[in-house]
Order: sequence, then C-alpha cells, then structure tokens
Amino acid sequence: MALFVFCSILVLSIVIAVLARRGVVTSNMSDIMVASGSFGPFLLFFISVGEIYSIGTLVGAPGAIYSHGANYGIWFMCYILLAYAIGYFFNPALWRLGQLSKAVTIGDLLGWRFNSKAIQMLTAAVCIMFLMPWVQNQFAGMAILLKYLNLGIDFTPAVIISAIIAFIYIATAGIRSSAYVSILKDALMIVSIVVIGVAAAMAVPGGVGGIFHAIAAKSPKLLTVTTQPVTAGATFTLSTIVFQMLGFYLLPITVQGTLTSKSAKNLRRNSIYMPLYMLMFPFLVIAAYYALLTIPGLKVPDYALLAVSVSLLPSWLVGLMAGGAALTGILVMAVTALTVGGLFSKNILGVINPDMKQTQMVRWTQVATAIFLIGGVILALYYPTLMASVVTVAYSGLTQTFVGMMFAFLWKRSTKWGVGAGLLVGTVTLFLLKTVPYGLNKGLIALLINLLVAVVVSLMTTPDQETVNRFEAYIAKSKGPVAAKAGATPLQVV
Amino acid sequence: MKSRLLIFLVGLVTPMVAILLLFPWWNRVEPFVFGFPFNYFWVFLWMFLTAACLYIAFKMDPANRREDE
Repeated sequence: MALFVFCSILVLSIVIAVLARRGVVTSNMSDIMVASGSFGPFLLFFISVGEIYSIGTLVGAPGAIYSHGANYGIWFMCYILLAYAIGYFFNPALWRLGQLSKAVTIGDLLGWRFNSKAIQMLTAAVCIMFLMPWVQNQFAGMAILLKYLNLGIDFTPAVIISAIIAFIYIATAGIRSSAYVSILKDALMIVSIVVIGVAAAMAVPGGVGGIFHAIAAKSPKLLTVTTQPVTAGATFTLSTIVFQMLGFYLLPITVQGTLTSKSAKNLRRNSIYMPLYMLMFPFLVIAAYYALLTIPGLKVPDYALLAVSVSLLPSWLVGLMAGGAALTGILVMAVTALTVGGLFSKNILGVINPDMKQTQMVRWTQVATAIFLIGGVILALYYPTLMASVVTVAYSGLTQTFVGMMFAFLWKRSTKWGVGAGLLVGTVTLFLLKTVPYGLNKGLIALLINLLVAVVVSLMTTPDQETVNRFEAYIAKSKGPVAAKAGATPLQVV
Repeated sequence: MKSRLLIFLVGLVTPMVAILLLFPWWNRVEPFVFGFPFNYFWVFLWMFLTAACLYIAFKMDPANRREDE
C-alpha cells in the first residue's frame, strides 16, 4: 500500500513537470535557469521553499536532533530564521545586479560586476565543487529513506530512478518544472510533518509537555545548547549561525531562485512569508524528541523520523510521507544539478568558447546536469554519509562568495584581483585549516581571511573603468528611477 | 537616509538581537511554554515576530512604492 502511494506521488510529479512546459516559449539559458525572470509571488514562494527545504530538513534534521539535541535543533532553526531577515535586504540588491547584468547564474553576477572572465570561472569552479556535497546529501537521504522503510524497492534502482526523475524535471522546463513540482512537494511535506508531530504528541500522556518534561528528567543536556565548556557548544553554535545566515541567500541554488522574480518588491514580500513557513518546525521538533523518548539507541540517527512515522501512522500515510520525502530529495537534486549545469556551460565553457550559441549552451547545460547526477549516483552507491555534517562543508565553501557580493554592492574601489584573491585564499584555507581558536566555525575563519586578503589586494590594485562604471550603474539603480536617468555612463553587457 | 536606518533596525537588527545577543538569556529549559522548553519556544515565537518585523519594515519601506521594481 505504501509502495503504491509512494510511486503514484513520483509519477504525479513527473506529470506536473511535463505540464510546466506549457508556459515556455523559447528554450534559452535565461528560461531554463531563471524562467526568464517571470515568476510572480506564488511561484517565487514555491521555488524558494522548494530549494530551501530539502531531504536534509525532513530526514536529516530530526536525525541530528536525535544525536545532538538542542545543539543542532536550535542552531538549525536560528540560522534559517535570521537568513530570512537578511534576505529582505539582500535579495533585492542581488536581483538589481541581475537586472543590470542580465545574469542567469551567480558566476554571471560577479563576473559582470568585476568585468572579469577569470572571476566568472573561479566563482563557477568554487560553486560546483561545493555543490557536490549538497547533491550527495540528497542521495544519502534517499538511501536512508529506502533502506529503513523497506517499501519493496531496492536501493540501487531507486537511486538511479531518482536521478532520472530529477533529470526529467530539468530537461522538460528547467527551473519552471521545479517550481511547480515544489507545490506538490511542499504540500506533502507540510501534511506529513504536521501529522507526525500531532500523532507523536497524542501518543504521550501530557502531550507536548509530556514529551519534553520526560526528556528533561532523563537527559536534560539534550534540551539546551551546551555552554560548558564554551567551545563545545555555544561558540560553535553562534559562530555557525552567523556564518550560515550570511551564506544562505548566496547558495548558488537560492541565487537562481532570487533571479526568477519579476520584481524586487515581490522578493521583499516573500521574505515576510518565509519565517511563517517555518512554523512546521515545532511539529518536527516534537517528533524528534518523541523518537528520543520512545526509540532510544537507534543505530542510525537519521532513521529517527521514519521510525516514528512507521510506529504511529497507517501504511498509506507512511507511503505519503515517503513520497513527500523522496520529492524533497529529487527536487533539490534537480535544482542543484541545473545550477551546476548552468555554471559549467555558461561560466566555464561559455568563457572558453565565447561564440557558443544559446541552443548549444542549453544542450551543454543538460549534458553537464546529467553528468553531475550520474556522478552523484556513483558517490551515493559507494560513499553514503551522515547527512548533517555534509551541509556544513558545503556552506563553508559556498559562503566565500559573500565578500565578493558585498563588495559588488558597497565598495567602488574593489577590484577583480581583490575579490578573486580573497575567494581563492578563503577556499584554500578551508582545506588547510585543521584547528580553530575557541571552537569557532571554520568557514567563518576562512571568510574573515578571505575578507582581509580581498581588502588588501583591492587596495594594492586599481579597478578598470568599466568595473567602476558598473558599480555606479548599480548604485544609480538602487537609488531609483530619477537618479538612474541622470548622468549614467553607458555600459557593456556581458 | 533616516527611514532606511529605521527599516534596518526593525527588520534586521531586532530579530538578530533577539536571537543572537539575547542568546545566553534564552538558552534554557524553564519555564516551559505550551509544553516546549523555553529556548525552543523562544525560537518559535520569533518565527512569528520576525515575520511581523519584516511586515512592518515592508510597510515603511519607500522602495516598495517605486514603479521600476
């Protein structure tokens, strides 16, 4: 029964993806990567939540709460929450830069602003490298899902089928399909989480309070963020919150989402809804602590949510939840692979061969997407890993573009040399850094070094005139229509 | 631009103070609210309040009255 529901959901998602193609007029890079900037508030919301809430949320987060208690649970919610507040201000700025540069990837944004092919390629390379753990994470989640639930599908064919479905989403209508599938995915995810949370609360005498009072009696350390010794919990937690809230809207996949918007105003409005959508988390937290209470000693912590759902829910509901969980994994796989494909074909191949036509580039994007997915399948079959730590690794690298982006918005004197050097040094530092002072987040340390290098090198070099023109154009655009008309210097487009 | 600063204070600084600065204060179990330990409750509360802060910022923000975006 569960298997039937599960498969139906996957089939339904493919149907939706194919139907999404109806809105497409041309198939060019802008359309597949950012839906030609045509998304109104409804689709913008769904592509946003589609990309953000992956299988790491549904399976990984309860698993990590199960292992680490509030040390994980609290920071996980805090950095996302604060990222939304930052996003209110950050996203319109990024969007404006996108409008000026006609960017369809993060490589385009930085490459245009700093008038540098090298920056395009470097940004693309760093992003592709650190997006690999991101997609790996989704496959790992699928593995956990299928291994535990024993739906009757073997792991290997399931992983292959997921990758194929992800590719279908991209091949039909790029990011558009993902936005529409996200409507189904998020509906299922919300329903599953709420049902499991409510069922868990009802299963314990005293409800929610019952669960937490019992945990408080048994293992109170799981309910607060460790502050003794300071390095074990609090400094790492807080520095990671700060670091990841900065990186959140810089993740190349969320950049794609931001660029789909029709207007900056919609982005701001979207920022208001996003924290409210997080109100699914109380239910998730209830389920995770319920697992701690009733199913202690799970060998694989990531089984926590699944174990709870199997013990509390009828078979068809388990199938529903599994289908929703599978969709979260497949959807994020798809968007990540698309982002990598676009970065590769536009910001690497497109730079090496500037005469590439749009249709060729779209083909290459699809090829790169497919190769990336196949690579992910192979990694998943041979190196499945625990989910939560992988996200930290990905963030540590992807957030390094923060320096470049902030300079893009704020600093006239910044140069491509500075930004490039900073990005390179920051990334290399991540690999070289073995110990951190005071237990601070490694990525944050690398980011600070990145900043320092970027400032010093920018001051030692001078930006070329076009770079300065582009900065002034950006400033003019942020000030508004009146300011934009007066004295703007003509610009080259990338 | 005075109103821009105010929007920052409301939309960004307020949630950050509540979550980051006040962290040592709210990182505790007692009192339980709606059955949740206080720290979890605080974070859930700020999901509402952050949305409210951003709503206020949105209403105050002159950029939302522009026609070009």
